[in-house]
Amino acid sequence: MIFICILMIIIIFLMFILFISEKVFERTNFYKNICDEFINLKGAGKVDFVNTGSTFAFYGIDYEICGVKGLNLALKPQSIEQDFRMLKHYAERYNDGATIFIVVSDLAFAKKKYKDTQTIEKYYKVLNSKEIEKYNPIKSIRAKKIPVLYNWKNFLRFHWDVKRNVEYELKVNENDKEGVDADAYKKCNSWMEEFSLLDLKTAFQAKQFLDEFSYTTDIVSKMISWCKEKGYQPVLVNLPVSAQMKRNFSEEFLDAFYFDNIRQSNKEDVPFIDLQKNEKLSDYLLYIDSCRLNKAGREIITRLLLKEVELIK
Amino acid sequence: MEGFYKLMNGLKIPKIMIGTYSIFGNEAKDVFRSAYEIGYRGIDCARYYKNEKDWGKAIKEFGVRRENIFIQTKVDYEEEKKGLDIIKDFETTLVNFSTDYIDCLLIHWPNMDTFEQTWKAMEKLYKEGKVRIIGVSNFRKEHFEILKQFMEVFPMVLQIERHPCRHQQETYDYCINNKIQIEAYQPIAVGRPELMKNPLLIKIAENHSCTVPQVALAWNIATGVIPLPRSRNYERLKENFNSTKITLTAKEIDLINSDKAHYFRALREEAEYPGYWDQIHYVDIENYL
Repeated sequence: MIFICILMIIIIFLMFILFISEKVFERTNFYKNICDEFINLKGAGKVDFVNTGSTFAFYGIDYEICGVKGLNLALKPQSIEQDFRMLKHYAERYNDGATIFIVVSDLAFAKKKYKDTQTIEKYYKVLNSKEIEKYNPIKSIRAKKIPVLYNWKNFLRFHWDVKRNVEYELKVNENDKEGVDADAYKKCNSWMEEFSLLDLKTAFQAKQFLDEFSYTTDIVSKMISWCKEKGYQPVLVNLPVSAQMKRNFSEEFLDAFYFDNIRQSNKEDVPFIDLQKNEKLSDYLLYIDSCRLNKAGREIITRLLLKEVELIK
Repeated sequence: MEGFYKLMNGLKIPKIMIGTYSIFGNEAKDVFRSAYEIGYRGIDCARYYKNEKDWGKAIKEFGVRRENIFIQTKVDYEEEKKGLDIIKDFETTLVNFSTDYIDCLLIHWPNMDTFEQTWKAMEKLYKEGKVRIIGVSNFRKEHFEILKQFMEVFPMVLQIERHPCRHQQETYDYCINNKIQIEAYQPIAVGRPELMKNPLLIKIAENHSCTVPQVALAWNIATGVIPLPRSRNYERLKENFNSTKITLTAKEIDLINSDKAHYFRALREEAEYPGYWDQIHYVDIENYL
């Protein structure tokens, strides 16, 4: 009996510590920086414009800044598969005839799924159990209620916090050309590692991704069909990158990894807006680094997209 | 001319000088004594560092003849923002160093609102002979282009962060084309791993039987840039100075110049000087639509 009482006291004490730790953790900049991933989902009410996409789209589109009602569904790293889930999940908020920008970035067709915990489990916060692959209720509780448990290091954040990330609000590029060039170089190297690529120039490497391409193009096709069935206006979009980033990719590589797959996905022949063609938009001043748009760049891109949609109509 | 560069106005400037940031009081005396004995002939101060007096005292007490030491300092940028009278404030600098002239005076940070009046005041001091060399710090091509619109005397010196992880190539090329002498602050990138563990620099250091910081300093010197390393330690001061005796090969210099993988900024301009990038990277949205 005494043993059980002691055990109970210990459990209650640990739960209390966990509760306090969680509350403190939620006040750290580290946690707030993670939560920034969801800032574009804030707001309520029906919208006329929606976009999917990953990191490029997260930083590249801002409807509010342009005074229109829109919803940016990009949650930084996001696979095409998750794009479709997000798109369907928020469908209640789309006005009839809403324009859906299906934003696909250069290497997105080569990625079936993300494997890291943070990217997978962030959807517990926004999607419901049926929309999450291999749903696990414990993970759901951890993601929604006690994120401090994601990593033991989180308990140390009380003392060793990070700086608040202000990148999203930047209006200028805080790098010079050399810094942008170095950033592009580093990012390309990390993509080459992530996708096991020899370089970003030779097209023959596309052969090793046939399975991924078939899977992702099929989803994009389904996304287009779904939009049409629901009476929305799907538009495929390619967002721009800086010239410093662009020169790391060859045309043949982009054809094999991107444009061939766009054609493959777009059997219904919906409009495709390729903003990478616009040389002006490759000016590094519009970015935070070599590929993520800053606030000024975001406004330009969104205004151009809205303008293009008007022309299409 | 060994140990010195000749500037566009014919005056000499040491090929290596010591940084003085955060070195005060007796420590300044010790560092100056060691540095002078090792062979350094120049110091880099700033009003903002709040140690001009300490270094002035160190020079005076050591008894070095004025013409044998190159004194460089910078206008107080925080006071400058508030409308500081540069000419009047400069008198304090002269008193701090117990001298009747300063070898080199720099604008510390580019403030678009004030640098016309600051530069004109510095030109006046230059013409009066109270300052032998005038220059700027943390400027980029865009700032020079604005300065060009009203200046009479072209800046002779530019001080920027420069080391093997941050080449500042665009600014470097601009200065070479305009005969502006570059000085490098934080030339060892504050000892950050990007520099200290850079395999290329380690390999070059092995080739020359020297240390990685020495390679960083030697690279600056080999490319005609004056490094401004800072240390309180005698051995480090000596090690840094001995980098002037290391001659890198053209191939080694090329390899460092083309290394993008280890890019690193020791100093974030926007953190030190809020609004720095807004001045030159401002985007006029209508131009892109």
